[in-house]
Amino acid sequence: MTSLLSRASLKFFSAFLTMLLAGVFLGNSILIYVSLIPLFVIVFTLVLDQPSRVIVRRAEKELELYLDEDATISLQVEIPSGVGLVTVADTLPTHFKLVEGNNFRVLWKGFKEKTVNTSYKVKCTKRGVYQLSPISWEAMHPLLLKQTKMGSGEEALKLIVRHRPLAIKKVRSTKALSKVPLPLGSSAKMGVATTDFREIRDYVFGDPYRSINWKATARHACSYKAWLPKVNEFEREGKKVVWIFLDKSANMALGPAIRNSFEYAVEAATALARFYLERDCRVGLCVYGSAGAEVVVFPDVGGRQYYKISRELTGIEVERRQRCGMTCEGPEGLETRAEAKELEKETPSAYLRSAVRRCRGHLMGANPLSIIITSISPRNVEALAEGVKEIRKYTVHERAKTPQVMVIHLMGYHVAARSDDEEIAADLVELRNWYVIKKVRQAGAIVIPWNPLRHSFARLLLTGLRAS
Amino acid sequence: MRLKYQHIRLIELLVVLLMASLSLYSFSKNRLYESIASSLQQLLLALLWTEARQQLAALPIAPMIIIITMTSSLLYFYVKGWEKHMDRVYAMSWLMHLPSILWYSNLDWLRVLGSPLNFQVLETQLSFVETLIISAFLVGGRALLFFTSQIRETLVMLQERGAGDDDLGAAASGMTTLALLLVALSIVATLAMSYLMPMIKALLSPIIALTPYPHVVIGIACLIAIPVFVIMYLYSKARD
Repeated sequence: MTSLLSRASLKFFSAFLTMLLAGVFLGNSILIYVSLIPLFVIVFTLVLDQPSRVIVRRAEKELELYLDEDATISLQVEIPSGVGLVTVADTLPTHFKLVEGNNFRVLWKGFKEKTVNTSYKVKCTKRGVYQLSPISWEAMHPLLLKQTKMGSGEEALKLIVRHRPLAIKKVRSTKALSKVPLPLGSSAKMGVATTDFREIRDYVFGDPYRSINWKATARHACSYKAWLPKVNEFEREGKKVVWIFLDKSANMALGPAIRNSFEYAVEAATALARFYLERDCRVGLCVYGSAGAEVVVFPDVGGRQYYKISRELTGIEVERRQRCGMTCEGPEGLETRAEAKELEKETPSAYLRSAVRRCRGHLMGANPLSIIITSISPRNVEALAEGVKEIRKYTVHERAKTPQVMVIHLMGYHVAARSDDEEIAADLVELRNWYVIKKVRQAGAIVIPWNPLRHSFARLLLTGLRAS
Repeated sequence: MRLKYQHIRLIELLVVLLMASLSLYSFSKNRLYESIASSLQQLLLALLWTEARQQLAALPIAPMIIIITMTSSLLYFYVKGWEKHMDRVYAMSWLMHLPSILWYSNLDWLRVLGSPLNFQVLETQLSFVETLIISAFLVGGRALLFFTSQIRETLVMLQERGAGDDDLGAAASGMTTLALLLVALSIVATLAMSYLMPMIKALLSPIIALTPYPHVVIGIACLIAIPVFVIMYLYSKARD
């Protein structure tokens, strides 16, 4: 028997027996007759069976959404037979917030077949790949005289939550232009000039006369400051390479779990990848932690590369403190066991250098722009400086005027600050870190401090670069 | 957030009032009530001073006290609202109605045992059918109160799990309607059975007369035992 009885049904039956026996004992026909009432109640009620099968279907198998964006999850519940209460629960993972509707529905199933379409809206507060388990259901007896039946659907839902890409607009104003390698296009400086117009600039020694724009020169000739002729600059053939190094060590875990420094770092990495890919650059990604490079996406171009990078970034989690020590267990970034042992001998903060070594094959000869997203502190400054030097070893030309390494320094203490006092304390800590940042600059990198709670990333890149 | 189940509480109030009025009516028609009321009246008047005694002698103080006490107790249990309080409502109503039922007992064990106090003191003015109908309503009312309290508890549990008010409203309506329907059906079936019993008896008596007495006793015992053991088996399996 599938529907076993509950305690309530036993109560009715005992009431029937008590009254019947009392009636027989006293020879009282009234008691015997009324003893039939609980018996009839239990018989009529047990004839009704609760739904034994509930079919729950999801409208989607996979959903992709941006952080803090509402997602509508739709379900179809079909109850073919039975009478009773049916509860349908779609359990949400942590970091999800119910915005509209309800993920727990209670449905009354009468004598007719019932089909219900329901939907609810959720908002995710943390990036990641989430799996919504199959929807569970319970079927209760209409008068609770039988045990509740339980089951679940078969369809799970995969939710991929990404950071919304930051819109970094193209720099138009010449005042905003800086010497930092933030390319307006993908073209390399070397190579054959194409017919794609790039900009008008001042004449420099060696420019061919035919490239002079006489009309523009005439327009600007009224000012004594702009006495040089203007020349047309055209895009060159070839694609620039940009490497993004993202630090996922425990150093980046400062701040609340939902929105810590690492979350901002991932957001910045996504934005930079999109920015450069939109300009036809070849973009590569290296996520490194205490075990060296853990995720490497080799440079490529196009939307597919952006998808690859953003998919990798979606699934990455920051390391926890207990993992700070070096370990050989599962460091995907380490090529050989010997290399892992070598790293163990080194200082615990040598992870950037090992990550760069892992990517050296793609760094050599490409002269890429390398962007390191990290949070500089006295603990990791040596490792960072070593890493910058390692990058410069493969990329920097002797005569290059501008460094090809950019470090975005996430001000983690500001992210963690929850009051004005803590904000002031964070400022003091950053001041103390100033000499540390200087070390990184001396190693040959441009350092851009970023407080994500004060400055938008797009604006920071422009103003920060101008300042530097 | 408080659950909105006013319509269930309204049904419960009606049932409690019906049970109270029927049991009081039944009690008032019983000889036991007359003796209790007159004793109480005399006791109360004896406690009063002379002038007040003369003024209040004509008033039915004792019946009023009994009615007010019983009704207020039943309403108090209704307000409390838990299942155990519904049990007390039933127990009090049944206590008032029981003397009338006992009057229709064919076996007076007290008289058999030679006690001077027997069922003769429980004489009622109600007819057999009236007593049966009141009994049926009391038992049916108890079943309904049991279901409604169970429904309320379930709805509160579902609300705590996050169910919406609209869903709970629909569920409450469906469950309450079904409970009302089934209890009403049971009462009607019982009354119909009691009405048809003389005819059934007339049909079966020739057959039963031919059957040896031990066979009838064993047959009845088996008829009771089989469903008892089936129910106990199912319940024990459910607990496992």
